[in-house]
Amino acid sequence: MKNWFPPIGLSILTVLSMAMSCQSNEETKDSFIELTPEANFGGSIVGFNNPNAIDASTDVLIFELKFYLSKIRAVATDNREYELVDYCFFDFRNPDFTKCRMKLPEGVNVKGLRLNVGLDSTQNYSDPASFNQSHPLSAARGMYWTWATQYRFLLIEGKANQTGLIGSSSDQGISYHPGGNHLYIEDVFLPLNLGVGNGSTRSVLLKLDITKWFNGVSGAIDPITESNVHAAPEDQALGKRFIENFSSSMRLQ
Amino acid sequence: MYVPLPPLVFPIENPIKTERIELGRLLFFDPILSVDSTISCSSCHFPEYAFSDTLEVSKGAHGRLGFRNSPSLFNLAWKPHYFKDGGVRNLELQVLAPLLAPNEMDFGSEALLKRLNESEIYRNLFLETYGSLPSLQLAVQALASYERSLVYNQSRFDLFLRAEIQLTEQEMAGMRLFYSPELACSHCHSGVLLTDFKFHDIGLPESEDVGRYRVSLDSLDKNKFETPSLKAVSLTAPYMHNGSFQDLKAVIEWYSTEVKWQTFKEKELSPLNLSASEKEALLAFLLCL
Repeated sequence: MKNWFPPIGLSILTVLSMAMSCQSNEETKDSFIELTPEANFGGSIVGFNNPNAIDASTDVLIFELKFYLSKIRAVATDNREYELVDYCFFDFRNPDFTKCRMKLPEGVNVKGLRLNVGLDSTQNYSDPASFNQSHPLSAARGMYWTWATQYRFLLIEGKANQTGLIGSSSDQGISYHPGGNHLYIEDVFLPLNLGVGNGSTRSVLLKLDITKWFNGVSGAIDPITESNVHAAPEDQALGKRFIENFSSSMRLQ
Repeated sequence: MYVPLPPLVFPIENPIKTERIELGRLLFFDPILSVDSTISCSSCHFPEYAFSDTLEVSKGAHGRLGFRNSPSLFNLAWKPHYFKDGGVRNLELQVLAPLLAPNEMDFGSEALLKRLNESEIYRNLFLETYGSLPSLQLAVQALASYERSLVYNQSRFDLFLRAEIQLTEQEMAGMRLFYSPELACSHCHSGVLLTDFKFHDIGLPESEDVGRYRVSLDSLDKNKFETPSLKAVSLTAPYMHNGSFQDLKAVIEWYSTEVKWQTFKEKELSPLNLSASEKEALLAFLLCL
């Protein structure tokens, strides 16, 4: 016996197709920004694995940089804030995590972004084994430290030495892994006149001035003598200074 | 008075099932989980030592030393937190820690999953057990299920409490000392699992390992470690968080002559000044836990 499903199925398909088509038209009107971090030394863009001066007497080489930003909001010219994304994860060595795409609110004149550095206490409480391997909060990102700290908010690895000496046996390994709810940095405002979205995707550079990590709002950090931040209690004061300096090293372009 | 163990505690998302325990058991004893395939969980947690080992601190992958004495894995299901500093909140996360720690299994989760998925045996076992291929979450859940199944309540003391056997006179004397207000061992080693699960500083020499302070960042917690359960304590030498006491006699001697609280919140506990016969009685009791 022939059933009567095909005509109804076709109708449903037609309606669905119209709905998707409408949605598709809507999507084309949406505006996005694509945030891409770019590390530099005092404005000079350099690749990783190259030594660069952070001051007159010290060179630093960075070979790993990963970090979380969270609660990213668009700030309108009337100072209203619009939540864009819960969190973004960036990993300079993993091409899957070099950008973060965010949908801008419609018809809003945006004068900058406000964001937090690290993960909030709820995100930080996540179980890293519960996410699939490609998820920003998965254990596969190498950001989870099971003891107390939970997620490391930043993970920076590299070397430091006196000017011109990087590559020699006197290199000091540097390793900054601040994390923990007490090191969560909130409400960093990064000005950039994005105006009103025009239905396209705008690329925005998140510029990180590495020299400011070692000489920023919370003072100077000598990477040769203050080279490590992990979970130990005695590391926390340096961790706080480092993540504050990191937060102040960011600007949008 | 005999108090039975409470019903087994497990998270809703990881119910206890025989096939999960069995898969966890296979993983537990398989060096496939360490980066250089040299150690398994059982390399530091031997069944014959109540799932602890006999070293002060265990060796991980690449021969790297850990920094604490390997604990017994008996009766983990009822613990409110894990590790001697209580820094891990559930058993599933506890399982994850040694897998990722550089001085233990040292395995990135991607590499671990690749290896499990390359194994036809594990692919099939995960499919049979969970209906899906190996994932980090499922591997962790299986291992936690196995660890949760390691229940021990068959000691001489358990049998005595169930009125199934009699203790010797010496063991009875040790028990009375243990529960006496003067010695107050049971002040901390309390309840059915012989632990209060709290953190205490008993005045052991300070070391790099700052204990609970590492987790709480409260300096009052410096050198505090969780009271260990004394279940099967005769099998878990050496003792203390750093394995610094080779046997129970040394532990008893410490409490007899040197123990002291070093915190501001705990009551003072002076050395117990035990006689030789009291030490022997306490030892006899500890051996039957």
